[in-house]
Amino acid sequence: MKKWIRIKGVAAFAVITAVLVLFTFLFADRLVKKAIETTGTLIVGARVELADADLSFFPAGLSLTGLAVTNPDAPMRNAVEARRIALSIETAPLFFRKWILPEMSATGIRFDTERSRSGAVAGKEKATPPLKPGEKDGKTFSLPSLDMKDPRKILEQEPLASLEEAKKIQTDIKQLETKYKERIAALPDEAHFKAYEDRIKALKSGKSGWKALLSKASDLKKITDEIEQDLGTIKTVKKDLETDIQTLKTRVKALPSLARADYDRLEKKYGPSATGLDNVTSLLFGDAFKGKVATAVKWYKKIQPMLEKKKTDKNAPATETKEEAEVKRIRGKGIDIAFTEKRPLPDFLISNGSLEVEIPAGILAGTLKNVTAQQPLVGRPMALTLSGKKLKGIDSVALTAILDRVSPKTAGDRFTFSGTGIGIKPVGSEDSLRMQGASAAVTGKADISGGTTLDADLTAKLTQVRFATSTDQGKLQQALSRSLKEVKAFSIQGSASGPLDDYDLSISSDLDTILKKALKNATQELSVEFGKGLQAAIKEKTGSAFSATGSDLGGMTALDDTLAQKLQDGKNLM
Amino acid sequence: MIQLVANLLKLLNSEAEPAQISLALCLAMVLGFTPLFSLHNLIILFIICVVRVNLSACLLGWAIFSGIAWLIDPLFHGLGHWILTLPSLEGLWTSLYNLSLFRLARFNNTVVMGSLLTALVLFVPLFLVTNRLIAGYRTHLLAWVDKSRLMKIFKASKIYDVYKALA
Repeated sequence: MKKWIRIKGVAAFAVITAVLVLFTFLFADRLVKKAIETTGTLIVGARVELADADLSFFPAGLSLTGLAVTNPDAPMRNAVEARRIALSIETAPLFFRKWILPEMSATGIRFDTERSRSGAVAGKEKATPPLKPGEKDGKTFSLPSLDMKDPRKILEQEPLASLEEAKKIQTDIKQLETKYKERIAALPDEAHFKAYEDRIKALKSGKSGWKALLSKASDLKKITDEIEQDLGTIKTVKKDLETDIQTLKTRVKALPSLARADYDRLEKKYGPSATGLDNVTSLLFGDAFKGKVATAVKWYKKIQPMLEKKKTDKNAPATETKEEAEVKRIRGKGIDIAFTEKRPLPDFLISNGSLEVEIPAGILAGTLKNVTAQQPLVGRPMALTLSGKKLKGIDSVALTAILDRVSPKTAGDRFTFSGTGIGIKPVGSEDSLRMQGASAAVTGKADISGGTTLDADLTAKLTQVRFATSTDQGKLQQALSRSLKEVKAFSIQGSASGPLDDYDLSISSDLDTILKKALKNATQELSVEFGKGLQAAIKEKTGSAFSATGSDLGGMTALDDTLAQKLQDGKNLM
Repeated sequence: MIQLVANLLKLLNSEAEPAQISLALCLAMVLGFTPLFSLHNLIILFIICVVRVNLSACLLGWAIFSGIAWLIDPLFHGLGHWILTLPSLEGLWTSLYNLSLFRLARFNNTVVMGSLLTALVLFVPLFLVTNRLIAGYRTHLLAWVDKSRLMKIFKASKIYDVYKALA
């Protein structure tokens, strides 16, 4: 038995164990730093860096310094930065592989900061696919047309139905003229009727016996029948011609009405109108609103997977997805199967946190509670509050977020925002509309039910509004500038609703109503001027074609006269 | 590496008990199959240190079994998943799950459970088989191998020099 036991081995084991423990103590900070950077990078999809990590054992705690999380969509910018995060750790749950952090303090939190080097992860660069032809970049707000075009230039681009009809009438007249000339040519002419006359004269002379008289009467009947047949043919042609002339006359008569319809259509399309200005709010604030909502939704989607832990189904078959198979190739990885715990604790929990967020306007202070992906175990939703007063350009601002995943039935997230005395930066462009500044009181809320459906609305009351004079000397722009100069206050309502992947945005304001009313008179005056110009241009363009139809129709009437003459010649013989 | 191979050769041809070599390989199998930083490996390390098993065989075996484990990890996962989800054992696993020692041991991890179970099941058969193979080698093959042309080439190599130096 003695030869099987190595007493010195106990000492060797003790040394090895001591070295391992010492190694853990000495390099724990580096290991934690590496673990946070690696795991963070994996979750975010872009580089997560930490300047330093300091793990203390008695009492257990962790201090992180210089945390920088790269924005995966903009690798040269950090999505978030934190100067220092101090965490206290409960020791006992660590034996159950649970990270319970009763207190957290985060200071120097900043968003969207610049990076000195790219934080992109190899193979993770996202290329924005090019837009297909005709494809719009999301839901955009349209700009109102403030240009009053030259009517002549409009007519160069726009087809006129009246002109096209006049040209068609001319073509039809020419075709009919040719057709009737051919038909008239085939009808009995003067020589033909002269022949009848000669035959009748011949009957009058000659023998006068009863036999001769009987023969003459028969010939006369024959001549009469022939003449009547010819007259019938002429009458048919004349009737057809008269019908066609009548149709053409009706079409010619309708030309002015068509010209009027052209005028109405073009006046509506190109005429100065206040209706084109019913989305001034969208023009000024639409892009900003759209951008803010899109950014919020994008980050919500990124945070969303961290709110709920993926359950390990014990009964699920051990079939491998491709992703799982890849994970398993890493030595020693597998799935941790969870069983019922006597005293269930979440794998990770920050119970209470204090935050200090630095924004360009100053510092926001706030709290963060119940940060965990297993809210049902904690029984409370995750809650965030942030507020600040007397900041640079902002009197006060407050934000709250409740991310509730305690029960699947009532799962929903609510965000509220309020702020007063928020200085609005210049918006718009100098050649059309530009608001130089204003002070806003904003309230807003967003509900996301089931993590999928968005229902958000925002109200902003703007005071001390200052609009700039447009540099465009156009009449409508100047009228718009005059009206905007008088606007000192207005309110905006915005909303976003629908599925997170395809929500609808709307933004409206009483500024639109104010402007519409003020511009009504200005546009009326301009409309009259535009209308006269358009009318003259249409008349100029269609005039020659219209008069040509009248003269061409005269040619058709002359043909009718010819037929009337032929008919009279025939009747004279009778 | 050369030194390690030389050690093994020395070991195989030495007076070391075949059982000591076999046990070393079996312990190396547990160490190699299961994830290294597991609590049970501390026990394995203790046994390796205290029991007179051959360390060279253990190190070589660890390297070989780690390589095998890398290839068959999915099988360990499947086996672990199956055993951990057996309804009849749920009570046992739940009891162990509520003990901090077992939680630290990560018994509920599919790969840890699958690989440890495989290693434990193969432990005795491997011990017996390697024991017989080593004994057989020493009885029947050692003399023939020693005279073979391959061995003559080997004896002229650097490995043999190292082996001789260690012998």
